Amino acid sequence: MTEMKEALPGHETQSHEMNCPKCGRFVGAVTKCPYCGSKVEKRMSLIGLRWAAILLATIGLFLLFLMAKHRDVPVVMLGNIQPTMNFGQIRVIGQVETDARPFRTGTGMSFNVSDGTGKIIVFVSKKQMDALTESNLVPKAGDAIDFVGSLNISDEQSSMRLLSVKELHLTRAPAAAVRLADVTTAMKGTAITIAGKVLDVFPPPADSKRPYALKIKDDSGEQTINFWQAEYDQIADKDMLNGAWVRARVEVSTYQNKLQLKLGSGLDLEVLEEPPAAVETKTPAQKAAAAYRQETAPPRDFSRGRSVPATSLSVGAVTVDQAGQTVRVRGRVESVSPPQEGTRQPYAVMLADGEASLRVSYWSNVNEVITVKPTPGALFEMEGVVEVYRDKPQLKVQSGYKVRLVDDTPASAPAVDITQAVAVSSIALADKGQVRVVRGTLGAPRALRGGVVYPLTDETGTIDLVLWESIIPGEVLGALEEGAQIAATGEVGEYEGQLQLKAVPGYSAMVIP
Amino acid sequence: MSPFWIVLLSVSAGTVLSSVLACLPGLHVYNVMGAMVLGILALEETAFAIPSDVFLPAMTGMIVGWAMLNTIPAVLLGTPDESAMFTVLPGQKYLMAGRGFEGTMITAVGGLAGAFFLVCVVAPCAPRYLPVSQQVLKGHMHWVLWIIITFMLMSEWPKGGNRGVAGWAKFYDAWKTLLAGLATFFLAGMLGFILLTRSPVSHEVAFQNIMPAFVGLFAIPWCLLNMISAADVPKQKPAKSLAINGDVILRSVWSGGLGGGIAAYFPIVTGGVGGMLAGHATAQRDERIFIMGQGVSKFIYYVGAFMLLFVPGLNLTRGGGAWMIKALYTPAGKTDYYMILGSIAVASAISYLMMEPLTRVVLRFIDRYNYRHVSTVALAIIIVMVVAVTGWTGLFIALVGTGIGLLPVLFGSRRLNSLGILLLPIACNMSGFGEVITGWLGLT
Repeated sequence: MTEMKEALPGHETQSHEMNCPKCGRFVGAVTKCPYCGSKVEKRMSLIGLRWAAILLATIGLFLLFLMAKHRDVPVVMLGNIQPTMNFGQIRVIGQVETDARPFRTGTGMSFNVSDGTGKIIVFVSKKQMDALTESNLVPKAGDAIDFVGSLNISDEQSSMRLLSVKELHLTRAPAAAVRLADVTTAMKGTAITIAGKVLDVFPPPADSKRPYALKIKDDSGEQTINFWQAEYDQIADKDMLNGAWVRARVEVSTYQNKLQLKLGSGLDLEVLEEPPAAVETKTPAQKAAAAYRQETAPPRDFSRGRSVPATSLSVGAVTVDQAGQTVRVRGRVESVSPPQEGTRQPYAVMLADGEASLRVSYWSNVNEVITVKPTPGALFEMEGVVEVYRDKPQLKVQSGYKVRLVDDTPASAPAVDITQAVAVSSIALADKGQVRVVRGTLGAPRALRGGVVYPLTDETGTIDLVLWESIIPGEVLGALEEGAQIAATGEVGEYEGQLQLKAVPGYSAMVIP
Repeated sequence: MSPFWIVLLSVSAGTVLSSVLACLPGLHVYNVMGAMVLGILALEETAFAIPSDVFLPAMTGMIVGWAMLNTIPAVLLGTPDESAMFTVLPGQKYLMAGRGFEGTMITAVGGLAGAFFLVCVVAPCAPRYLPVSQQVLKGHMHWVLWIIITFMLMSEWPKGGNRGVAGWAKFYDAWKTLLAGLATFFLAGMLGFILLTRSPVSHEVAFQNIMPAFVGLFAIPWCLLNMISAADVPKQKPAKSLAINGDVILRSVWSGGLGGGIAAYFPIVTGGVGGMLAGHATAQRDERIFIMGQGVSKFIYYVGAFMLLFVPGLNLTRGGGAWMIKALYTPAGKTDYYMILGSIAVASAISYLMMEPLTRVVLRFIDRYNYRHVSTVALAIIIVMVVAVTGWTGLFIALVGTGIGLLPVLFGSRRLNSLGILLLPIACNMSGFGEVITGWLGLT
């Protein structure tokens, strides 16, 4: 049996279990005396604490891991980022502003993103860059993007670091199918889809820094697609290219003032088993309409990690029970109340559908990016989080991109008031900025990046009618064609010394039967 | 009022405030600065916006005051932060021998010596040499970190296995403390991966997302141990002399300056790790040198790291204080640098003068109240602070951190292993394979 030694001088006042039974020194919580090496029996409380520590450190850590792994990363508007969010992980939904550019050192790349409320630069590591390249997800200007990243905020420039490739969702900007003969330098900067038969593949000469050149031909003409070794390696059936039918998504650019078609990724080139269907010689308006439909088709996930119904709800279908859920609602605007001057109130829009009505609110920074502002009578689709306001459901919209015009005219009213039509020759430079209604016959269209121009001719003269895809509904663009009799409402403008009429947002052009 | 008086008043106010706050156990100056940052941001676009001439010196004073005076709770109340880990063991020895006052004052002299070293030796050379050394070293940080980790893990020796029959039992006896240390390091590292990659703390207060884990790893275990072990603090005797001379001070500055300098300059390396490395490198055996050296090290670690942000041509962000300032202000050349150096000098003088009276106040306090009760109150303050800043999620993280932080204390290994929370994930990230590990864990 062990005999307890008296505590050494200076250690007498300590709790009995804290002293070594052999040498009498204070040893605290350890079970072996650090001075003489003797075993120190411990009280139950310390033994219990040991087990509690082991359980907390292992099971607690595992639970924390599960909590972190299954956590929904919150969507944050870039305009709402605060310095206190530094090092935080957030989800951003927006649009890529610049093509992703690799660093000179090859250690990663960066690109800029905007969500309508702000912009931020996003850094991508080398491993992530390789993964994005492999899966053809390298962001390009105009792509819609949804990603999770961690914030690095400083007084000078804030940035984000991409957290996970798996959580990056990219929707490519629409690329119109174009006949080879129709590709011109005017399309510079746009992405297009071309198809044809490969005439030849010219690899770069040894020790040369030139790219690959792939020459293709369709019914209308020939073009050459350029790409580098990295892209060539990605092409699935590269050994069978000669003589094969292919379809490729390429970027139109220029090199030494000559047209150049660049293949961004080998995965953008598809070898076809049979000749591709001839590209319909669609009118530019139809192309624009098709592009518009593509752009709006895939439902995007705007929620905080939860799914949003792809279809819109009616105003009456929104209830307080849905508080916290993200929904998309369609209804006619009953009233719009902007914030009073000097206050920090939000915008309040009343959406109505029959007897039912719903209050929608959003802040000024959201309003700034709404392309077509809500006006009474117009049909709008809005997406936001359901909240409860004065015991009634309210929709809180968090992004201007989620407020979309569906129809700007009351159901009963005609799209364009033809009675207001003026003669084309009466429109003068002095009318610049004024809204005018004209009627006439459409001439041959000219495609623009993001729109189309028709010459509109009446008995008195001709004026260019400009229609932008972003503000004119697809069905309006789709209905227009050369030779059609139409009426249109537009704002008088001037471009390169020529007067033009820019169609106002919404259903501002209609075919006269 | 002229800028001189504005700066002087701001730095004095910041120093006095943090000197008093430093005596509260478990409260870290970065938590208080975090709250101040919130306030400054809230006032930013109002008529009461706080100019940089006010908040920069005030925050400098806060860091200096805290670096100097946090020795008081660390030694006398047993609630050290990570950088004070080395001071505490000898410091507690002083406390248990009734010489707590002497222990804290020796550390304070070390802090003052650190201030002289920083302002008079490091500061004049820094703009010329540090940008160059940064250019040279920045591509090598990852392997430096791995070497530090390796040294930290391998320099802990088996504490048993000396006697008995050879075999597994003897092997286990020798290795159980080391295993506990390794387990602590890797569990803390795992916690670090989780918090740095996908922290459950609200993104609104993400700048404090490591704080609950640090509180759990370092502050709470100490309070719990104090409460459970029911250690009794003997009556403290105020010392008339500290028995130190120029030789002791110079040797302390040598070892502490090296340790603090390593900690301030290299990313993620904290005061405790720097102290350990410098302790091994300089091999000073005198206990007074050790304690004073830790005072120097702690001061240079906190204040020197903060100063690096303002060195012209360098602008290196090291330490929580610098990161917070960076969100508010971008340093602009020599004007700011000299202002910060002047603030450091003034704040060091004020905080040193406050050391003695505040130590006496705390000693009277622990003399009057039961040490166990003091630890209980300290624990309550810590928990309230964690919940107030990071909510219940933060408290859960602190609990997990406590479990990990208790392992070295209860199994007799080195507490520095808890620093795996930053060392492991950051070293992996800097070496380029952090994403692979977070990918395996399913976090990215």
